[in-house]
Amino acid sequence: MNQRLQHKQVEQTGQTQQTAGTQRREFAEAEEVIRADREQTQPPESLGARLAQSIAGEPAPPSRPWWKRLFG
Amino acid sequence: MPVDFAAVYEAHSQQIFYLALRLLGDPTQAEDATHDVFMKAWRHLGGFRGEADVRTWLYRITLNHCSNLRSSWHARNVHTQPDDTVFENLAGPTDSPFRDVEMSELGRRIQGALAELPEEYRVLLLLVADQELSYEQIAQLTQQSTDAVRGKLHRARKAFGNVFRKTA
Repeated sequence: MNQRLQHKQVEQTGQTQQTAGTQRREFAEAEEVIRADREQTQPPESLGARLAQSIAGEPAPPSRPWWKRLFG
Repeated sequence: MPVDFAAVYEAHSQQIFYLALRLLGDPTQAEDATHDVFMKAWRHLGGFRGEADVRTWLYRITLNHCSNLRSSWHARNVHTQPDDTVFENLAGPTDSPFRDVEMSELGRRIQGALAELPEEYRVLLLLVADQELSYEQIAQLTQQSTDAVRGKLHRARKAFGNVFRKTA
């Protein structure tokens, strides 16, 4: 019993080290792989400020005519 | 940036940047493309009629923008057409190519695999990875029927798995 417990502890420790060291994952399908990659890919932080600066130099976008808002 | 448009940017910039990154394969070009996509959206905000949701509208602008960039690049640099059947008929090993994937290498491997695929497959896989898009919306974005999308996605997944395995 003690031996089994010790063996299990060694296995668990090994899995933890492997997970912490390499961060490996298994995926079921192509889109799941792509989704995981997208989640860890962020646009550059400077992009929002750059866009804001560009927009500040633009005239305000024309608002939609009232008749189109009502009748599409 | 006006508050409403800032919210649009916050909600969708990651997806738009990622789509541009994987279509163009270059972070600097993707950053420029994302900037240009949101500028086009800003300029045409008054004409946005709400028939499609904002995400789909932004995706349409991104696909057109990246397609224009890529076609001008291809016109200068690429003179051959890849044979789609090569990817579909590859008989790979039966075990999953997505087992034991090192996360820090994921971007490099995906970019490498997508680069091997025909553009149509690349676009379909990137769009279907967004769970907010329905097959109908993907069909509209890629200008084909939903049946065609389903059929091509089946082949695209298979082709992606085959080339992804080789990137390890």
